Amino acid sequence: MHTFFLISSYVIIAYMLFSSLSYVGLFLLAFRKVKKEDNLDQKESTEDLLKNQTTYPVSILVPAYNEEIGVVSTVRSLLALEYPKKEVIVIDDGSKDDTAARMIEAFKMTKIPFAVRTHIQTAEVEAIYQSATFPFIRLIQKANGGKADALNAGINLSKFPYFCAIDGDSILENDGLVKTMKPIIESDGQIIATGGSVRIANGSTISRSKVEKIDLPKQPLVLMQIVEYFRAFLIGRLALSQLNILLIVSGAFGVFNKERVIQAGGYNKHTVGEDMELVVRLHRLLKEEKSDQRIEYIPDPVCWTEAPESLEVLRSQRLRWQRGLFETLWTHKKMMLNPRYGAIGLFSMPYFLMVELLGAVFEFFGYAIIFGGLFFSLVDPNVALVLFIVTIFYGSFISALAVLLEEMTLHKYPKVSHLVRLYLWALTEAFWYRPLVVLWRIQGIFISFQKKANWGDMKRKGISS
Amino acid sequence: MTINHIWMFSAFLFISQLVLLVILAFRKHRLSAKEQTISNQYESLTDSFSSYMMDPEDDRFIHEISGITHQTIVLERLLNGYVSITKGSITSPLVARLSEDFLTETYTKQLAHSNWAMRMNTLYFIEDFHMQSLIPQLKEKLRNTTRLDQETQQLIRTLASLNESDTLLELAQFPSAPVRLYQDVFKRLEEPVMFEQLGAVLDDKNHPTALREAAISYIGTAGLTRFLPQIEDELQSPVEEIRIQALKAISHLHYLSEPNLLTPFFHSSAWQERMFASQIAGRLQLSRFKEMLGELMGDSVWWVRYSSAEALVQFSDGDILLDHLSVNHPDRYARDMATQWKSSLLGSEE
Amino acid sequence: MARTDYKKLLATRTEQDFSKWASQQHIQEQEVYRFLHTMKGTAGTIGLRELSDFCEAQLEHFSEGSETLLPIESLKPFMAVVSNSITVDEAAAVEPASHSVENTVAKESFILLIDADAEFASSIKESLEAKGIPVVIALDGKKGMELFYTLQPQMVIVDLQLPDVDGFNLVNRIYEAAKSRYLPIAVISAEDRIELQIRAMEIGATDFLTKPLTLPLFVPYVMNRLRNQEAIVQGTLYDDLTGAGNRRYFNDVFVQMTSLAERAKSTFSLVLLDLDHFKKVNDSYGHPVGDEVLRTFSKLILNTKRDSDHFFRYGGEEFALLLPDTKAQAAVELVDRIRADFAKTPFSVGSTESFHVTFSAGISEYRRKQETLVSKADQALYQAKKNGRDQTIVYELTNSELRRQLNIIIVDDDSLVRKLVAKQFSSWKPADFDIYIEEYADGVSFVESSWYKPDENYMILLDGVMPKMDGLEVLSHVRSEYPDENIVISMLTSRTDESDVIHALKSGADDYIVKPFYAQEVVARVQRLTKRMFN
Repeated sequence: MHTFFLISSYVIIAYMLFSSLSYVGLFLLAFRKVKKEDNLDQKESTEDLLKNQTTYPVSILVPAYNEEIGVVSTVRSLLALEYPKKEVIVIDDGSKDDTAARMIEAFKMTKIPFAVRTHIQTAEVEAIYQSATFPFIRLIQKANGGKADALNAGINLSKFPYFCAIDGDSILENDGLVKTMKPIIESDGQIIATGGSVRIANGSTISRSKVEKIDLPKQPLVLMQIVEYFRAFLIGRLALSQLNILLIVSGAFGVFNKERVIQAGGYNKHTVGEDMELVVRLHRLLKEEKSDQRIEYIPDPVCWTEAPESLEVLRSQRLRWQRGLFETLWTHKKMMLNPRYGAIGLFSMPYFLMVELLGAVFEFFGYAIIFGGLFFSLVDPNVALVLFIVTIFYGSFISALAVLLEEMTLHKYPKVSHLVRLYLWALTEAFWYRPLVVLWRIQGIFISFQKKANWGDMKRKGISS
Repeated sequence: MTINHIWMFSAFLFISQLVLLVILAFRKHRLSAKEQTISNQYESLTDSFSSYMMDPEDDRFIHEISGITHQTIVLERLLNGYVSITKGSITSPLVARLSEDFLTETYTKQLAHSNWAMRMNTLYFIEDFHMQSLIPQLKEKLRNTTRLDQETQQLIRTLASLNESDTLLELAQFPSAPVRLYQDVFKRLEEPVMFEQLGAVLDDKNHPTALREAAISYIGTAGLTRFLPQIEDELQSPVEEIRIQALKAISHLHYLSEPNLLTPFFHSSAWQERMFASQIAGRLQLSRFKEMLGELMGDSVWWVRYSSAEALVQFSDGDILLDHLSVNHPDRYARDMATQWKSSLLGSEE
Repeated sequence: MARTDYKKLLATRTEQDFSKWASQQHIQEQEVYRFLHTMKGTAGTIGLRELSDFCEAQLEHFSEGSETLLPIESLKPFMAVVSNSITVDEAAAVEPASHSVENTVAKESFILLIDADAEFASSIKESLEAKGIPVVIALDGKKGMELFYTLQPQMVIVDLQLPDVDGFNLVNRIYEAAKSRYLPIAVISAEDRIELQIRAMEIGATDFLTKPLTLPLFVPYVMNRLRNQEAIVQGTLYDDLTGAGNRRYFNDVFVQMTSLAERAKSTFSLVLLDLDHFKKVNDSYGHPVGDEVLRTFSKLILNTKRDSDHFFRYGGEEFALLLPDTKAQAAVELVDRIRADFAKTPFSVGSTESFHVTFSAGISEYRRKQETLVSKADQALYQAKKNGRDQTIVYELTNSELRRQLNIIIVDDDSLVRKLVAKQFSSWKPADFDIYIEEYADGVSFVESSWYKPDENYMILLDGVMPKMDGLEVLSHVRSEYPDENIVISMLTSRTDESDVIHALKSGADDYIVKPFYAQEVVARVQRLTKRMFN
């Protein structure tokens, strides 16, 4: 028994040290690009695209299910987006409330019989409306089919070659779309999808798609999520994007090439992680076609989202994420360690499996052994102690490092006190926040096996004033 | 390795992190103090700057700007603000004078700076302030480049904005130069030069296809009807992309001297040509093609069916035609398309 | 190192000077002298020999220390020569192939576009303003009528489909007034049925255009119509509606009388007459009735005045009398006779209701070397209004402190915008009122300040997007808390905020100015928009 625990301890220690080092390694990979663009005048660099008629037009899709409270203000804020040519398509996914009625009233919408090309099969479309005030706003009323199905219906109706999907609870900065489209335009279409990072809006003041004041929220729970985002985006995503093996545009705001998405078959209705699953499928398509098109991630925060403030909501969010990840990896298990899919198969897939999905299992055992070792002498207390140090290292130090790295590169939070607060909170991560999240993620894995459909609900306060 | 070593190693890491934290906090503090000074200086200068821009005889501003610490940044902000708020500032002799007096030297240095972002920003500002004085330096820089990267692309745009006509030829040296970039150049050239260049590109069929495509497409979007004869000639071009661009341009220009030029395109093997031909027939209300549009409603490509239906809708008797086709067309897809469009006169945007 | 184009600089400077002059009615002789003197020197140095010679020759006509006020109108010929000789070479160099008629129209020209399709309207506004033709938009017939009468545009474009009234109906209602100003009315419509076209021509529209417009044709078309209108107006002396002389004619006669009085050592009086509460008449009985009042009033005066007296329509409901060899006291007697007669004149609406209209008058008498006759009469008129209307006041030295004022309020979070705009206004020195400029950095501090006094006039320039409280909120606050007639609001927006623009026009903004703008253009717009408050 002792030997078993001892070996487990060594495995976990090795795992954590290895992950930590790979985090640092990945960050160093991304560091140069971020640093390079650090001082670039953002306004100047996008100014020209805004005036340019040849800038690709974009369709913005807004799936809405029972969003009567927020849908109109979401669409209003999209009107303020700076972009030369865009259309907004709201998809009412069989809401039981007055989502459609609110839209029709606010934007003077009338029913239009419009020829729709069915690229992707969806649940039945009941009616299409167009706004009299802003003809580029349209509304699809359809039978309920889930978010992926709603997005597919939006893709069918959209006129433009690129589209992006906006969640009701996210606010896109008014130059966010042009920033995200910039790599696509400058690559002359070689980039087929881009993602921009998401920031947590809690604490900051955002009005009419303009961030007025960046500040930190008071609740430790939200502060920890900010640190977590730094860790995920700066360390994980950027480097993978540089290597063209980024698997996730999820939790980010993304723009996609419509034709490619249609070729890939649109969003998958059978997973809760439809956005990640789509990106993996696009990668698969590119690899199978041996195309040299790419998917890119830009470090600039372009989109703001409201993070859960209560344990309850945070928990259901994490369960959902974990399930989405699981389902995606399961669906594409064929790619795992398959040299045909290049670095995606050999590196990204295992990385997401071991670090993002199963990391929680290792950590869980780590915590268990530390407890066991210290209180019930299941293992040598010294080993337990080492494990404890490594856990802190993995949980707290890496997060604290992420805070410092953010400051070295993007430094978006304006005050010195912001930096210090974030750093100090990051140090506490291994002692409370991480165990909590680990528990939920483990639960998530279990639930995935049971395949229970359950859209995480989120209590929204509304972030735009 | 004992547990003590591990402790010591951890402590070492922790302390290095703390040192880094202190350094970063100090840097942040310094940066925000600097930013504060800059914005104070900016605010305090807006008044004399505005007076100067109204009436250069009131030269308080020249004295004030000469005496401040962050001269370049503050002046950049003021000029940039002025240029973005007021129209016609491209030709403002005052913007030219201020930027050339105070920024030429700094910018000459910055163009060779090791920081990429710094060089990019400088290029943007040179364009915004229309700094003719830096043309020689920019040309020199372009001569020394071999790769058409982001920086070179901006360099090309900046030179074009200074109305340098040979920018096009310089750009054509890069075989990979995209259509988009050529269009950017055309857009920036000023009128007589732009017309000359467009004319020259259309006349010489040996130019790269991308350049010719860009010229044709620019003529369409800018509505330069004077080039219509040349555009119509391009309809006979052996290169498919050129023909498609020419069709697109005609659709933008809303004009065609001889409608029969369109006839061959309805039977083209390239679906884009069939689609644009239908689109033009609708926009220009060329009733002679009504029958043809009816036929194309049964085309194998969805976009062609869609455009021909859209074109039919634009005729005054479009509803009748579609009504007829929705029942009598031999093709099932055509009947579906006609049904969907029948009463959707509202749905055709723009 | 600095490579500056002096010629261009000189042209800009001169243009600035001239637009400054143009914004005033009159200018001191010595200022003209100084200008010519400087110009002579400068032109000589930079090689414009001819211009230099011309200025030298002109100098003989003006005296160096004279404070005599010269009407700008009389300076136009030499101003034209100066501007041409500075800009002519440049124009020739830039546009060698241009054979078109000069592409400019009078600076004063304004177009009123009445169209419910806000997107269409703002795109038309954008393309015309790119060519230097200001456009004001009304989204419905009611606002359209109001702007038609208050702004007095040089051309009207009406969409047949309006939310509140039928386009034909609207054309019908403005036709009489439009005819008197030779105003082109273009009807636009998405439908081009021949019946509609016939109907449009029958009720007096000048042109019928079909949507979508062909922009390359539309812009020269508008230019063409505006030039035409201008040429006709230039050739006329009388106001068609009332039969009184027009403003241009007034200026001519005024100059003549001044020089005559100067030579003959005689005097004359200027009377400014303004109908009381005229806006109310229009609002409650409609503009046709208002026009009837104007006609009757004019007819009465034309019948009462002596043959040697001159009668003019000075602006909307403001009239002027120039009475040669008449002292102020005699002028009062004449005015009071008119007052008594006018008080007896009933106006009827329908068959039952009838009402009376009164007027106020301000008089000033010409004295030796006196420059500010008009503004003095205007101050006297203002005093009469302030004292309770329906009375005549003669200008006395004592009431000189009673100047009217226009408060220009700039609310914008960008200090550079505030300063640039404010500086532009500092060069505007109208003769008959004073300008005060206030700046606010955000909506909250403006709303919370005690900026409003009921007796004064306000022009608010409001940035659309501001932190804390944005322009639209400020706009609806002002419109709901304060009266409309003495507050004009114009939004400063950027091109991309299309939805905001529509929203703003619907929530009571009178106009909007798109950034980037020509700074001088802002002043011209404000002058036009505020005119109604001082007429």
